[in-house]
Amino acid sequence: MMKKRIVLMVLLLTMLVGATTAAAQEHKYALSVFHFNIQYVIGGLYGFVPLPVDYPLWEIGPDEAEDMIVIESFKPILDLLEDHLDWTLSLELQAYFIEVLAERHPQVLTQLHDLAQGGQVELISFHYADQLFIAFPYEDWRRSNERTLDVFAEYDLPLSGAVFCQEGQGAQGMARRMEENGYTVMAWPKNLWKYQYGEEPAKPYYTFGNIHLVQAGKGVDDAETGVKTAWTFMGDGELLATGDWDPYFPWFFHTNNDAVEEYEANLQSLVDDNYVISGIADYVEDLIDLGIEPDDPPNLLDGTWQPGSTESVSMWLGRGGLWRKDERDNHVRTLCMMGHKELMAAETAASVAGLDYRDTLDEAWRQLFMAEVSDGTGINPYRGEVEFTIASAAEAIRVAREIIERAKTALDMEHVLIDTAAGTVTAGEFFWPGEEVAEAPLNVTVKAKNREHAERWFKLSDDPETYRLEIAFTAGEDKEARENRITFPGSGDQVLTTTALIDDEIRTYTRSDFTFEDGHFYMPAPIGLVGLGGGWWAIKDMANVHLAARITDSDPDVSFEDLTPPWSETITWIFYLINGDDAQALALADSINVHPTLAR
Amino acid sequence: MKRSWVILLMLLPALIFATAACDKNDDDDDDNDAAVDDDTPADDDDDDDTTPADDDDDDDAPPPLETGRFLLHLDFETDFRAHLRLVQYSDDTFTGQFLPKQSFDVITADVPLEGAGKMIRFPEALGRMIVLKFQGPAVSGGRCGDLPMSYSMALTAKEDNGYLVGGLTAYCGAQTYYGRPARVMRLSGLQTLEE
Repeated sequence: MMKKRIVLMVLLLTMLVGATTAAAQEHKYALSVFHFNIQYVIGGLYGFVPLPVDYPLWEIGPDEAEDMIVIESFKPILDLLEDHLDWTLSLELQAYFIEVLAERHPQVLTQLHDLAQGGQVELISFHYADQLFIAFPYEDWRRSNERTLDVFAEYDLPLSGAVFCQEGQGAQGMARRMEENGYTVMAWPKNLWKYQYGEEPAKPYYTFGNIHLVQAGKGVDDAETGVKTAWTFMGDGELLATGDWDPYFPWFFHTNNDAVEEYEANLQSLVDDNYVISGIADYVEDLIDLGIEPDDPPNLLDGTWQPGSTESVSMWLGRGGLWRKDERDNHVRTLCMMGHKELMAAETAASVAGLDYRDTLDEAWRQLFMAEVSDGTGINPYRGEVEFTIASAAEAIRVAREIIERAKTALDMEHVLIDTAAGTVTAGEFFWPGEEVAEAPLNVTVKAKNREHAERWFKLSDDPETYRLEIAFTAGEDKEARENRITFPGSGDQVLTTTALIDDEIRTYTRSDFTFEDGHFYMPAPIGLVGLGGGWWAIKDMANVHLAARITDSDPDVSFEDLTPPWSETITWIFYLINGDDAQALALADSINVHPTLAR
Repeated sequence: MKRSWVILLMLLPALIFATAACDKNDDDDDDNDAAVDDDTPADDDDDDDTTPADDDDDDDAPPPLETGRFLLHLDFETDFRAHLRLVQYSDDTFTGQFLPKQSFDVITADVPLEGAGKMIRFPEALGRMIVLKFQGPAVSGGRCGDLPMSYSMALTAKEDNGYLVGGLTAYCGAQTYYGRPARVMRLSGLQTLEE
């Protein structure tokens, strides 16, 4: 009996020692995200600096700007990998980047293909152009991603399960769409987490719906599992090989071999310290294989990767940068929404008329993706970038309208209502619904610097109680007239909105859970919908006003502000207010912004 | 840090100039009227014809009346110039002449382009857009080789504002206004009545 006990004890001791050893066993990974953006200076650099004399190196067009990025900053990273067969670097780019390579840099595309097939490049791509997709309806991203998958298939490029996006965009709604399209791991920017909930040590990985998430850029040192990660690079990929110069400065934007060699030496030192130079998806697969369980993340709001300096999405939806005088955020983004609506209507009209304009419409959608590129409104867009996105949106709209006109001719109808939700075209003309009312149902506060403004309320329905609010700003008195604001009264502790890529669900957050770094947060509200509490909802009419919704962690009011309105122009904002349940609010937002009925 | 100083020194003259120079979006002469577009939002542009003279819907109908002439001095690809003369008619159609003052790989400077178009409206968005189509000759050594060029112009504005922003999209081939563009070029400027 005693002998048996001793044997048992020895056995248990052995198991305990073994377990301790296993827990202490380190799993070291060196991770990276090289975020490449071939549209870094969309449209080229003409007029970037309005000097009275030409600076030849600044006078470059879109092709030259794109080529510069490929040659000076992208290819050197590929070259670096040629000598390290067991290293994997994660390169994120838009599918349009691949098309540029195919058209003008086929050898680089072949090199990329071979490295990706060999596992040395983890190719990450989630959108066709570097779009601000978290600020637009799901349909726009769906088509953009569909094209992305097609491009990668066309060139036999393996697409990683990992996802990182332009401006580090992150949204809870991405989880479902990622799962549907075969993606497995969201690389959520560490700062977008910290900005909302403060600093805490990173866990090896997290749940993200039915898939997984890692905190991109934040190293893990987890004693419990032995997992250690080092992020060797996370940022604009263009900057590493050029020693931190960006494409806005063409004469300095050249490959800096010392910078590349320094990075290579850093990686080698990590290898010497038993780190695996790994892709993100492989890292998470290893954790799953090791039996390590994911943690649950907090309830994260949609946003971008440097919310501290950009105040989340406000930099793209209302806030001005270095060249603020040339920005017109609301014009650019409302024009994108006009493009969305016109294309939805063209799809419907062509279908009802039995016209096959599939290829033409697909190209028009592609133009809209170009218009939705984030750099048209932020971070510091110069006038050329602003106008390039406007030009792209305008052409998409022009094509869509022509198809609508052809459908009307085919249907022999002069004035039509195109219901994009029902997929019908009926006879009818435009009208603004509702009767003007003298008394405002909500006490809104409108402010405008050096402009006059007037508010008008129209009642659309008693049940649910629904209004349209029009705010007409006069042209400004002077160039200082670049601040328009509205604040809606809120109540309660809940923050209510939709998340990007899921247009038919309300997401609820608890205001008091947040510890916003700046005390406030700007939400994109991708279908225009924000809850005010007490059953009230505000809905941006996104073809007229598409600005970020400002919330705070202490005050329930919700504000929208534009610090970039052209001072000499009149501007009208339109909001809808509804007192109803989630389904009623969603239905109204859908009918205004996602699946509108257009009179044409 | 060193780089910051270099950038600062390089940008300083530019910033001084930018501050002193006219603000491209600003209209210092306070002429902010579009001088067009007094139609109601419910108006529609159901006429597919782009040239008033081609309007054959009703051969007995009188031709549309000329309602305005405009001369737009446009910024072309942000840093260059172009001129657009527009004649507007009572049915919201236009004829236009576009004169680029800079060559690119899809267009030749100082070769005038004649075209026609119309105003399209977006009543729900309080917006309007002037669209015109132009045919042009092949551009020697250009992106489209020996093919003649087609150009689609689309200039947008909200409400009655006179500042138009949009683009001139070049397509390879005659009468080609769809498919992948050869190039999208930027245009912006104030729409004012021609004296």
